[in-house]
Amino acid sequence: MTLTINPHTVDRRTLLKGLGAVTAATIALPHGARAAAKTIKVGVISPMTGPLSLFGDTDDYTANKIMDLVKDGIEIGGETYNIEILLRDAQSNPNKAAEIAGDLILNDEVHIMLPASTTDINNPTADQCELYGVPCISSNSPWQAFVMPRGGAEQPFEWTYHFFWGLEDVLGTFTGMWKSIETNGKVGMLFPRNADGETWGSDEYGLPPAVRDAGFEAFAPSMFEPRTNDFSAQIAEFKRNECEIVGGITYVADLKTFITQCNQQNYHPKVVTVAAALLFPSGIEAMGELGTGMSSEVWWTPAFPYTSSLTGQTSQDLADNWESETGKQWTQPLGYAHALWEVILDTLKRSENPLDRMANRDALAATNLDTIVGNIRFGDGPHANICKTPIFGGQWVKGEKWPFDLKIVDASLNPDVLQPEAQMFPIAWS
Amino acid sequence: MQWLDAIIQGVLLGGMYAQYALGMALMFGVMRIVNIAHGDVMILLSLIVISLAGVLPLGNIGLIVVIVPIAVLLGWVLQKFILNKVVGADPLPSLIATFGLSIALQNLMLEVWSADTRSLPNSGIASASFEIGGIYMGLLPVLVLICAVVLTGGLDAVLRYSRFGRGLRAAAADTEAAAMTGVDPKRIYAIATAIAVAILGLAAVFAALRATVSPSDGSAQLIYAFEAVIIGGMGSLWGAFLGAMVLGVAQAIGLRIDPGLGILFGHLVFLAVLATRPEGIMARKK
Repeated sequence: MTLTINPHTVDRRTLLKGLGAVTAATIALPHGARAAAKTIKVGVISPMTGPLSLFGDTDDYTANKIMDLVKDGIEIGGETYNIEILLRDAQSNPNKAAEIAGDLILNDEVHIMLPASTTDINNPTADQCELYGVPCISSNSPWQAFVMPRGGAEQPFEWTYHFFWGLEDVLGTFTGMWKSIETNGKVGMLFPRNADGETWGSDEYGLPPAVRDAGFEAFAPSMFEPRTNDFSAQIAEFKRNECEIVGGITYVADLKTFITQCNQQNYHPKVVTVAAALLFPSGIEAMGELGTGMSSEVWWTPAFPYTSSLTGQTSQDLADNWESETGKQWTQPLGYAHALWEVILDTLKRSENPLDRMANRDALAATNLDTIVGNIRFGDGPHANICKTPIFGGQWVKGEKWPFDLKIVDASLNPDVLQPEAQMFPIAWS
Repeated sequence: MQWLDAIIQGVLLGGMYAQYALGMALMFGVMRIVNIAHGDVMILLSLIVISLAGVLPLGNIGLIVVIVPIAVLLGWVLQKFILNKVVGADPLPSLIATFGLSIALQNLMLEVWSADTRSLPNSGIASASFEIGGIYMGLLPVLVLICAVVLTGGLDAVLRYSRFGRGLRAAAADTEAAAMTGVDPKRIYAIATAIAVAILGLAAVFAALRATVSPSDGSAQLIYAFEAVIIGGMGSLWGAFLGAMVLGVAQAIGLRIDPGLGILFGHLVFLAVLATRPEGIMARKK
């Protein structure tokens, strides 16, 4: 098997590993065997560089792990197939993702496509797959973001499948967390003026109506321009309305500016729960001491009770391996990056002819697999091409091995999967 | 009361923009070098400060003491080995050179520091504030403003009264005539850029304390520095300071009217100044 990489975008480590793999495969196989073995091509598109590269880190790592796992090929219907993984960097750019997808489909003739993460990469890739008829499996973006902008509300997709949670779940998790703590029930909201902010802040299906339905009072100043240097207007409004909870979605840079100014303006909300910014350890570390007690959505942690169908590893094993090999704290996309490969390899093994896109699609649609993020099965979800996975509420606390640890404090939506690890506590402003 | 608060917060915000704009005023306003990499150089200095803070047990003051000489050196090298090759009557070569430098710096920083957002550990100074008549003022923004005032005043005095300042003004007005009277324009320019980048070193520490930095952030703040210099008037340091204040207050007032409008308001004021007084509010009469 080989690892093909785009020479312009790959880092040295991947390149060396890839070259090593190529040489090893070339030496190991006798000439005849190499010519006879059939090769299944898997296209992988990931944001390995640019602002979304925190998602890409785990894609790159996982693809290399899978590489090792399938280096002798896999057996399907009594025949051994080589697996060729074509890993491409979309540079966090949707146009680049679409271009690479077209290239992988038309020139490399991949048999199955894996756009690993985020709306910006998933949607353009999936659109190309739908156009040219290539089976495609993605994750790491709320299902509405995968279905709605692509016109999936009217009719199901033919080729593209997705597993993740939806906005309704994350909203339920937020209100679940807020109910577990004593406040005056007034919520100040922050939404940036971009695709995420418009969705989360929507007065029809976003956070404000969900919060009101749950019995809270919501104050949502109009959306802010990302990378605003001054939040004193929002803080003044939250203070005036005595909001004890701050919720919404922001990126790290904006949240840090906001929190610094909250302190300066003597505004001390008991709860700060925001999506996106607090997903990664580096985000919470940027908040410094104030990060203790902030909360966010959690969709995978080492505490997940599932095991990998490929390696038998538990979630804890997966996280431990990542930490010891990269020297970095585990991140949530790690579990999903692994689960995507579980689904891909399972699909290929069940496919009637893994070199036929149509057969692979049929096998993908019929997936029923217990992965490291839970059971993946299409057809029961809110949309024909969607499978929903569990979500929890988590709070960052002072860590033992790393500066911060993420503890699950709300499991109201999926109580059968995990129990809360701790009781939520208010932020101690000093 | 709400509007008074908005104006005060706007002036404090203007103090931050003034720090970005001051180096720009010196390079763009006086030397006519368009430095597109201005923001990226600041981000580079911020990232260096954050890395230093991780290994050296220095306080914030200590970090400033360490980073400013590094910034001086960086500025001197930048001018000596890159900008002096392209500086001249035509502003285009320096624009293109710094544009390339900006892209190179961003990718270099991405390689070294990755795309993670980083900031200096909160040491209390960023969250401290005091209250006057019900209006809260953050200690850090007030310090930033004071620094900006002192730097503007000091640099203005240097330009006006020192031998170096006279040399710089002469070289900017007519490089060849200045060279004939015994001024070495390239040396003068190297010192001026070193000063401009030194100011950025100070701004970099404050930026890392107040918000986060990541390698692609430079260009977002660059625009405010340009706008402040143009609103204030080319060639005037106090003009750049005033331009930064105008920009800060316009943004803060816009934010109070509607939190989505703040940045737009700043840009509108900039356009209004360009339309009605294109030479800037404090430009010298010619």
